[in-house]
Amino acid sequence: MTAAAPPLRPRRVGRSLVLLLPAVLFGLLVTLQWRTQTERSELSVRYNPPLIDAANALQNEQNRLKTELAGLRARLDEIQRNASTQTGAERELQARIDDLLGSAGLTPRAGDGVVIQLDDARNVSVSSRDIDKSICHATDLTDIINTAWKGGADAIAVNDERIVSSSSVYCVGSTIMVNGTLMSPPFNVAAIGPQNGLLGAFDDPAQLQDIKQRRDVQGLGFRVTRASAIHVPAFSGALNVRFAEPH
Amino acid sequence: MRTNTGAIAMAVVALFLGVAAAAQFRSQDVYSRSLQLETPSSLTTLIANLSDRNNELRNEIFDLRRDIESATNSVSSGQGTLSEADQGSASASTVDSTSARSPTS
Repeated sequence: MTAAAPPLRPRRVGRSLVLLLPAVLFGLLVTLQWRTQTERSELSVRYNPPLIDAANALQNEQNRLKTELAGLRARLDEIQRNASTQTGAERELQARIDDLLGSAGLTPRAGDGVVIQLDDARNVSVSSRDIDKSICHATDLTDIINTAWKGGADAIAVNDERIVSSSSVYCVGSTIMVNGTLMSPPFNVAAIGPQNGLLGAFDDPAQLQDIKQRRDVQGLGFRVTRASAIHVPAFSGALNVRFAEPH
Repeated sequence: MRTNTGAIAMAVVALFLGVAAAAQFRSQDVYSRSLQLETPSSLTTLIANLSDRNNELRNEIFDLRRDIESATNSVSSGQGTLSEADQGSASASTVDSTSARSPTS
């Protein structure tokens, strides 16, 4: 009877080990779940849905207002055009208006140029130390736009938002706003202008050094390509210029 | 026999937990952009900015409606051909005077 007892011990140890693995995995799973819960604070869970609804509603309203504004601008333009077809002086003034509207970004443009694509690096880990360098920021877009101006661009648009003198590019949290419109990557920056001049500006090693380094090291998405027949829409935002007078 | 069945059951449970844990870990780890992930503070700022922008658009729409009415009246009364064009030129040059390849804010 006493001789049969020892073989039971290894069997018990084996059974315990079999239980240990699922127990450890279960613990890992619970811990991760708990981390998710703590990261998304109670405030976020409670207040985010109505705030997101409000933001989306305002963005939809903005789109509607922009459409209405574009219609009114076209209507006023038509009245001015009809009114100025009689004398030479009027025709001259209308030509000047057309010229100014073009350079102010209030008329759509089409032509050859370059398209710059900017995107976050793929599969960026939130725990990565370099996360800040792996994603695109509003300042990156501003740098790209300024480089395009430097390369001789005549018209620029970011994801179909025309860039003009009063354009704004900034971020709130991880959301980027261009001309007050919510945007997120990937960004397509269309620049109409002399292709060689534009490509020369973007290829210049002295330009966009930070973005190029992050592309090579962190895998940030940044590509410049020649493009033909690019369409850049007219600026559709408000142009209320305050504290400025025409000369 | 009972021991083998138990071990197989345990292995299946462990496999399931492993897959679930890996899926959880992956979903945690990859950075993503979404309004859902913004803080209430950021969302409030976004809403304030959108609201300001919409107010500017409404103001411009109001001004344009007034301009259109004024232009229509002056053209129909036969006075405003040159003055309308002149006004259009002035307003376009106001915008253009600040536009020349300026950096964005």
